[in-house]
Amino acid sequence: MASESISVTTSDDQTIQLSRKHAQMSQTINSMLEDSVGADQEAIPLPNVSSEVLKKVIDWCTHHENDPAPVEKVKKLNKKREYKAKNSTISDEWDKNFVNAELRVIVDILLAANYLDVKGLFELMCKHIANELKGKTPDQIRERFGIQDDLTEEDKAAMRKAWGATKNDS
Amino acid sequence: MITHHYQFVCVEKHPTYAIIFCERQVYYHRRTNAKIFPNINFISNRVVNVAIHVCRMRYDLNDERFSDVDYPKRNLATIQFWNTRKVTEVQIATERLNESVRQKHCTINDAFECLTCNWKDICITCSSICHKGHKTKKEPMKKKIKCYCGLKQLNKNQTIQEEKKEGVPKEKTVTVLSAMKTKPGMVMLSLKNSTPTTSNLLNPQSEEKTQPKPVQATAWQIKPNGITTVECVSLPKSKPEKTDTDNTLPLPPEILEMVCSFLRGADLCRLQLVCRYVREFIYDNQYVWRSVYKSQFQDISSVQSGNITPGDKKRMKRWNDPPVRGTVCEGVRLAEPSISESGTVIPCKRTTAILVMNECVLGDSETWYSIYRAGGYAVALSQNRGE
Repeated sequence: MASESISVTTSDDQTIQLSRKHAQMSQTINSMLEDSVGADQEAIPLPNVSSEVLKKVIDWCTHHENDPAPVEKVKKLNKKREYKAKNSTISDEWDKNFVNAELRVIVDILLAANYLDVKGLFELMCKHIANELKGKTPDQIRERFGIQDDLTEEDKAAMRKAWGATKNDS
Repeated sequence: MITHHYQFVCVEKHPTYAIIFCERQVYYHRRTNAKIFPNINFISNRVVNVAIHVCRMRYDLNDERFSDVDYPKRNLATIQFWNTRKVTEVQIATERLNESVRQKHCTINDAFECLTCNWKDICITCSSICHKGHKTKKEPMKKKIKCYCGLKQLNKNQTIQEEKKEGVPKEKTVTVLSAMKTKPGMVMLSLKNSTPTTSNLLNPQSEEKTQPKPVQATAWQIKPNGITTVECVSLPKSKPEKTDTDNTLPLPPEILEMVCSFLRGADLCRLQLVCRYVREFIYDNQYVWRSVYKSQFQDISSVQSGNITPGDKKRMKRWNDPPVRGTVCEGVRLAEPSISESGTVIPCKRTTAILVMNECVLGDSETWYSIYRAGGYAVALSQNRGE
C-alpha cells in the first residue's frame, strides 16, 4: 500500500512525519487514510492540534504502540461500560511520568487526544484530571484550575439542602 | 470516488443562529469533504468544523446509554451567531449545498473551465467562489459529471491554495466560544468573529488568551437573546476571568463526562460547588450519576441470582413508573430490608432499594443521586427474569 510514514500538518503550519502504526492509533487519522486510499499522499491537516502537543501524543503512541488495543475489545467494553467500575488509578509507571506535566499541557493533550480519537491516551488524561479533582474541596479545585466562583450562596445552600449534605460533601 | 458523505441542510434560520443538519460521516470525511464541496470554504472552514464536531459529539452520544432518551433532533447542529451577516452566508452556502446534494453532489449542469488553473469540469458554484478572479470559460453542457474543482485543487493547484490562505480572513472565520451540552441531544455552540490565528476549535482558552474581552461580551450578549428553539444556555462565566493560573476546567462536555465517570459521588458533589458550568453539567447528566451508581454497586448486581418474589415485583413496578421528583427518596426508604425475601444475600447498610436497571428503565440524575445519597442499593435484573 502506501508509504510507511504519513505527514500531517499541525495548526502552526508544521509538517510532522508519523509512522503508519502511530497514525493508525488515531481513529480520526485512520479513517481519513481509509478514505483517501488511492488518492495522492498529501499532508493531513490537523487544525486543532499544535505541533508541540502532537509530539507529546506521538511520544505516548511510541511507548504504547505494542499495547494490545483491538477495536473489538473496546467496543465490547463500551457496551458494558455502565456496569463496569471505573478505576482512576494509573498503573503504568511511564504514564505516571507522562502525566506529570503542567495542567495546561495536560488539557491540550486531552483535547488533542479527543480530537484524534486516541482512546488510551484520552482515558489516561481523563483519569489524571479526575485524580486531580479527587478529594479536593471546591475552593482547592477553583484555585487549581483557575475558575471563578460564580455561584451565589443561595445556590450553594439550596444544593446542600437538596442533597441533605453531610460534612463530607460540602 | 467518494460519494455521499455529507448533507448540510439549513433547517432553521434566525437572525442570530442557524441550525444546520448534517449527517454523521461528515466528521470522518472532514478533509475529503472539502474536496467534494469546495464551496464549503465559502462558509469558512470554521463553521464546517464546528458543525462537524457537533455531529460527531452527537453521534458519540447516540449509543446505547442514551437509547432511552428521546432526542430525534440529534443530528442537528445548532450554530449560533451574533453576527447576522454570517447567517446569510450560512444560508447561502447551505442552499448551495442543498442544491448540490439534490443534484447528487456537485453534478454539473453548466460546466466551466478554469483557464487559470487549467482545469475542466467545474460547477458554477465553484467557478464563482473557489475560482474567484480566475479566468473561467463556460463549456458545453454535460450530463451528470462530478465537479472536480475541489478534488484537485487541494492536491495540485497551488494558486488556489494561496488564494485560500489570503481569503480566510475575508471569509470571517467563526470561532467557538463555548460548546455546551444543554441536554443530551442538544449542543449549543457560541461562535464569534475572530482572526483565524486565535481560533482553536476545541480549546476555549486559546481565544481567551488573546481576546479576553469579546469572550465576556458574548457571554452576556447571548444570554438575553432568549433563543427560542434551543434550551436556555448558560455560558461558563468563569471563562472571562483572566487569571494567571491555568484556566482549564470548562472542558468540552463530552470530555467532562469522561472525567466525571472516574469520580465518586462525594467528589462529584464537591465539584458541583465549583462553578455554574460544572454544576449544571453534572446536575443534568444522568449518565454521570448512573456510572457512579453502577461502579459503586456493581458487585451487588452480579450477586443477584434472579429469584424474585411478588414483593420484589411490586417494587420493580414502582421503579418502572417514571420517577417523580420528591417521591424517590421515599421509595428508597420504603423499600427497606425485605430484599432478603428474594433469597439473595445483599449486604444492607441503611436502606435498600430495588431498581430495575436493565436498559429500558432509568431514572433521571436526581433519582440516581437520591438513591445514592440514601445509601440504597440497586439490583440489576435482566428483563427475562421475574417472568
